[in-house]
Formats: sequence, C-alpha cells, structure tokens
Amino acid sequence: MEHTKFDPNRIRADFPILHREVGGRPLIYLDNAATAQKPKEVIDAINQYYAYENANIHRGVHYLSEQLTEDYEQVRAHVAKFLGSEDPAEVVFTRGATESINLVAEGFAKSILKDGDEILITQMEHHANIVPWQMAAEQTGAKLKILPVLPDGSLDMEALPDFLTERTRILAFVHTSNTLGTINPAKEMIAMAHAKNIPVLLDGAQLVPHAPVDLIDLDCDFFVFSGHKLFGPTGIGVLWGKREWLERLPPYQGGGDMIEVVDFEGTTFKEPPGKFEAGTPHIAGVIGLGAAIDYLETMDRAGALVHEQNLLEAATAALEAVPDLSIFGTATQKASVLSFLIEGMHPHDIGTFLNADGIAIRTGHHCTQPLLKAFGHAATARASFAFYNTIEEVEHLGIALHKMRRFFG
Amino acid sequence: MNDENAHLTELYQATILEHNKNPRHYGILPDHTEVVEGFNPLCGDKITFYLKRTDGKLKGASFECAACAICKASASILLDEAFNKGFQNYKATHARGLAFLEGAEAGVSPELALSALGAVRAFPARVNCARLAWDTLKPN
Repeated sequence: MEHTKFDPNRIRADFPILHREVGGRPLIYLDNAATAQKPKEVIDAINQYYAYENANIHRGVHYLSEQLTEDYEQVRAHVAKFLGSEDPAEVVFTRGATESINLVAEGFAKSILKDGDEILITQMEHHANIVPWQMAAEQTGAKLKILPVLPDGSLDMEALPDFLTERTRILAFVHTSNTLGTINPAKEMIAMAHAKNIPVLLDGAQLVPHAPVDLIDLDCDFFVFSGHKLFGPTGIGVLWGKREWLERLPPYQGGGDMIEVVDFEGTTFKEPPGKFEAGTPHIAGVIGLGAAIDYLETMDRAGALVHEQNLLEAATAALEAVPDLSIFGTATQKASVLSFLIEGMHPHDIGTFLNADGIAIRTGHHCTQPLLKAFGHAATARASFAFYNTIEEVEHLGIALHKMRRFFG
Repeated sequence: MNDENAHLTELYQATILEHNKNPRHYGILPDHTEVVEGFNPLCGDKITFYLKRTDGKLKGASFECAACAICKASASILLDEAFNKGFQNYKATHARGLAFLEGAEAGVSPELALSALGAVRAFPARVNCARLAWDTLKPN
C-alpha cells in the first residue's frame, strides 16, 4: 500500500450522516457509487440559500435577484474551472448525468442522425448511456453499435478501430464503470475517434468523485456528471460541451429563460448555455453543487485518491479471502468500486445480511443489465468506497462476509 | 443463533433457508404446456414457471429462478401448497398467500410453510422478492 498523510477520520467529521447508527450499529456506508454523502458545508449552503438568499434569477432588478444571479453564474464559472476548462458558457446545468445525455441524444436525433448512421457505445454502459441513444436510433433509423467488454472487465480496444466507421456519428462511453470499476483509456479512445472526425460524449459520473478532471487534456466534445455523486445535492447535474457543439445542437426544452424574443410568429433563442436551460432552474442544487466543489478544493485530492486505492486494495484482499467469492471486474485500472458474487448466495441476501451489521452496499444490476447479461449474471453485490471510508470499515466488511457464510451454511 | 442475528433469523427462518437449499418442484417440468415468466426490474430477479394444463385445468407445475433466497423459497412454498391441494381451487390458495404477504391477513396457521414468509413484511425492500412468485403465477 502506498503511504499517504490523508486522514479519513478528519474528513469524516465533516459528514454528519457518517456519525449515525443503523439498527444500533454504526453506519458503514459503502454505496458511494449510487450516491455520495454530503459534507455539512453543502447542507449549510443550501440552508443559507433558502433561509436568507432565495429569489428568482436572471430577471430581477432587486438586490436578492441580482446577488443570487451572480452566485449562480459564479458556480457555472467554477464548474468550468473544476473541469479544467475556461469558458463558463460551455457549462449547462441539468437534472443530472441522465438528463445531460438525453439532451445530447435528443439534439443529435433532431439535427444530425440520419437513417443508416451509427451510434457507438460500449457493453459496460449504464442504462443512462444506452436508452437515450436507443430512443435516438429509433427516431432516426440510426443503428446502435456496441463495443464489447473483455472477460476481465476492460474494453476490447483492439476491436475499437473497426467499430469507428465512416457512418459513426458519435462515440458515447463511460469513463469509469459503476459496476466493474474499470477505468477506460478515455484519452486514447477520444483521440482514435477524433482521428476519424467522430465526436465523443464521455460519461464522467463515476470519475469526478474520485479524481481531478482535465477536459482540455481529454479533449472530449461532451462531458456529463451528476452533483449527488460528487457530494452535492440530488437533482443537479452538468453537461459540459465544446462551444461549437452547443451552438450546433438545437434547444432542448422550450420555456422561459431560454429565449431572446418570443413572438407568436416565432421565437429566438439565447446563446448557449441559456438555450438549454428553460424555466427556473434548480437554484438550490447549483448553490449546493458549488459548495461541494468548494469543499473538494480544500481537500488533498491526490492524497484522497491514494487512500481510495488503498481501500480498494485492502477490500480486494479481504473479499478474496471469503470462500466461493468471485470479484466481477478485474481490470488493471480500477476505481474504488468492487462488484462481487458468492457461489450459492444471491446478492440480495448478501445485502440484507450486511445491512444487519450496519453495512450499506448495493445489490442488483446497477442499471447495467446488458453488461451483466453478457457475463451470465442477473445481479451482483457491490461495495463502493469514497475518501471518507476507512480501512477499519473494510475489515468489518470482511468479517461480516465470513459471518454470513457461516449463517447460510 | 446468537442474539445479534435475531432479526436476520426472523427473516431467514429455518423453513426459508431449507426451501432455498432444497426448493420443491424445481426444474423444467418435462410435459409442460405453458411457460410463464416473471421479472423484477428493480433487482433483476427472474422466475420461470412451467405449467401443465389439461382441458384448461392446472394439473402440474414447476419453476426455475435466478433469484434470492426469499424469492426462491416463496415460489417453492407457493407450489408446495398448490400441490398439497392437488391444484384444487388454486385461486383461493393464491389469494390467501397474497393477502398474508400484503398484511391484509394477519396470520396463517404456523404449521403452514407460508407462515415463515410473514417476517418479510417487516422488510419493505424485500416484500417484492416474496411477491414475485405470486405476481407471476396468477390464477386464470
């Protein structure tokens, strides 16, 4: 294990929920890939907003509205910087990664995709990066192509060149798999697609909680993530898009705030990002997301990542010591996400048993049914770790799994 | 069992664990005339019933599943009850079990294997596991 000065116990003090009990046991929260817990800085910022700062934005001349508009737009600029980009206009606020992908897929269906075109995704995508493209394909006659996953849970990179054809209109793929933990060679894949003039959407929902992002370096055309997985509120997410792409795509939803002039004879739309943000946005969500990013920037993120990799290493060893347990996803590059199966035990029963010990894990298909089907599984158990988890919690997980084996005999 | 596992032993009663290990009427019924499939999209649990009907009447059944202990045991228990009654009045067997799982009926005779499923009612996330067999194998 690599040494780090990063101290999860100091960080834990910032997260009120980590100090509660579940069924008389201290909570051991290992479901971070589903949603991350919130530091008090985020909770306080949302309280402060509703208690003292609430107004509508972008259209008031009074103090509260002007102040809040400035705060809201500052978060946009902050998100751009957080992603390694310069231009705040490339940041669109959405309800989450799912809506971000829907926005792009719908835009492609309306303005780019034609009969016989191809949309390339991978076998390890979350339903959020499958279904919107399926819908776009159905609307346009385009075909959905699937890049396969190898037995270790990495992408079949050798096959990729053949999948990038002259009919491919977009490559949309996940940076870090929520089920396998696999970290895909995103930069390389993006470069390969760009060499054939194919734009790329990168699903960063499981990347942003773990590692800093540099979109200029990655050079993708679209990047999406959700606030709630980044220690921020639910209901807020981001679509980052290169300006030329956001200009090219049609508006998403119609309504107030996204227009310049509305006339019954026709309406003109704002420039990006405004044209994609119809109606009063989730202001509290944006304020909370800003607070989450502020919080992360006070942290030693490099140290946090080393700590998470240490957790992954310790958890992998602890799980491998459990009889009949197999780990699903053994690629060399992995985030701290660990899916596993135990011979003769259904993941639900594992989840219920661990819950009795205060351990929260996820069981089921993790919104990746096609991936699990390809490997002949209906469900897995998944423990996913954040920087506030500890080696002691990993040890508890191991002990509980051994205890469970005895219980079910 | 020690005390710390008390509520787990409540849910996973010996009857459930036993039915999970040795499910009754499990496998493909060789002369089945009908296949009914059930799926829980929340968790991916899948169950398949193989039915034999003669003159429209249910005469035999078996099942296979990729599912948790609760789901597997409940399907086993449901079919066992149906078999015990020679598939006479399956509608009533089905209705009584469902009412019990939904909590509309407070209790059933403790001698019935069905009673072992009562504890699931205290685990809201798991009621659907027990229900899948009932939701799939509905009386005609």
